[in-house]
Amino acid sequence: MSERIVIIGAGQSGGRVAQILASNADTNMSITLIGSEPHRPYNRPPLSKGVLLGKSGLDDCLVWPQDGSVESRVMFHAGRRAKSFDARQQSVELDNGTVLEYDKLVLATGSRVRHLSVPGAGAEGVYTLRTFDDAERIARQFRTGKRLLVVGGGFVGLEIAAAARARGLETVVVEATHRLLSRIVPEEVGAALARYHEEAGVSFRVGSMVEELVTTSSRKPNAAVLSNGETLPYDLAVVGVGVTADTALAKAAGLDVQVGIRADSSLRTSAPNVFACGDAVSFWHPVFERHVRVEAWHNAEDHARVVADQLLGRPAVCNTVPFFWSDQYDRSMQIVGIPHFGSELVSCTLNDAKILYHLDAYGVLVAATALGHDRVIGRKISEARRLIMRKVKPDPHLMKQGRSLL
Amino acid sequence: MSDTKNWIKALDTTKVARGDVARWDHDGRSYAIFRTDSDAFYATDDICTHEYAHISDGYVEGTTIECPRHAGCFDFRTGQALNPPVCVNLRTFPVKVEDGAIYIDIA
Repeated sequence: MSERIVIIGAGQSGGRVAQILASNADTNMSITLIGSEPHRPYNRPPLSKGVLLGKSGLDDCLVWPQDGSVESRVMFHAGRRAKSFDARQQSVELDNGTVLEYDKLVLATGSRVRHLSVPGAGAEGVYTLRTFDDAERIARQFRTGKRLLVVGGGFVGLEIAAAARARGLETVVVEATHRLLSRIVPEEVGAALARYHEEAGVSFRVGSMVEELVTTSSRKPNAAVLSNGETLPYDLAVVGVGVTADTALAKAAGLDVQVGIRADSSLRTSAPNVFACGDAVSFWHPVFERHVRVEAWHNAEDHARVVADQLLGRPAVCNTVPFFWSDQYDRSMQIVGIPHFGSELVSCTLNDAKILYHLDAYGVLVAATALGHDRVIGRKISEARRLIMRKVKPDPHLMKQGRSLL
Repeated sequence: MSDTKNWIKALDTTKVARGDVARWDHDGRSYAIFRTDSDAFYATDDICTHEYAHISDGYVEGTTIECPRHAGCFDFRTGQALNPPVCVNLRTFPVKVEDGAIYIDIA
């Protein structure tokens, strides 16, 4: 009998599950993919870089090979949302009323972009960046815009700022906390990053919140009123204040949801025959022995492989150490592991690069954060990944001196 | 049998440590030259097939090289791309060692 696989969510993770199944499953497996966007699955990292700069188009970002081999095997419902699913009946209802029965369901619902909730947030000229269409709209505005306001000093906000400077826009980043990337990286890395951006001409307002976005009488973008009393004129605003796991479907179906969709280390959710992968999942990580939720390209990719393997009948566990990168001008920022599991920092300076090691209370390495040229930091991060995997307690003196730790 | 390859002298073997990689620039192009723990030599293109990075700046483990930028891995003996984000194989080049020098056929 044929096995029916339904995948909800056609981002990196869902798209890759479909692709791996398409090229490995025998013909009696039916593969259905549901995506709310009109496009085939694409990679998001280029959106805030090449697409904003006008250098990359959709074809450059697509996940599937161009030869049509995946499309010929996958029933792809583009531009459709799953309205709900019934974990007992094992069926999914789409927004056009179609009901699909499944033997195995994959939830790859990803993240939902956060919006500002201040007066004027919905006005003309205010954008968020999550989808390819968003990126294209912003890229178009970059051609005519002169003054860009970026709300949020996280990775997306900073990458947008870098792209805007490259296209000659006057750029101000407003960050509510007292420094950049406060949630993600240690202070000295945030400060170094801020310097790179300032050298490129980006200005910052930290510890300030946007209280109102004011439009002109003809409803055109005009100025932002900040909590420090300042009024910042702008003609284009991009809001990058983070994302939240899109867990609504799972919650409505009665699955265990805490921060993300709860899953074990094989990405099985609390409902039988339902897997989850990507940004939306909070899964039991066998190395850290805790639940972790990771918003990153590599995580989406690792998850897809683990889920697809099991759908193909091969046992699999997700034990890879999370990895994140961001390209900032000619430098690279890389994070391996889970920094907030650490309670102590050991810092190492190599040339003009910084490597920060995050240790837990027992001295076990749980993460490393690095900023610099990949020539300098790449090997240190690769080494740290192996040490984290082995739950090693490296010698702090060797770490400080940048010596080999293996 | 005559040697029909177009050998070009690249580096002295002493320039590449065991279990490591070295970069060799020639005629506007960069090559990565690998030496395994058991003293076998291999050569590949030095620029990652994903985005711009010199893989000779990366991490060698056994017979794989991990790109320093986005952590894609290649088998440097065959050039095979092993894990995303890399999906295009690296070009490899024949290598020979003679009198303490590494020669590469870059034709």
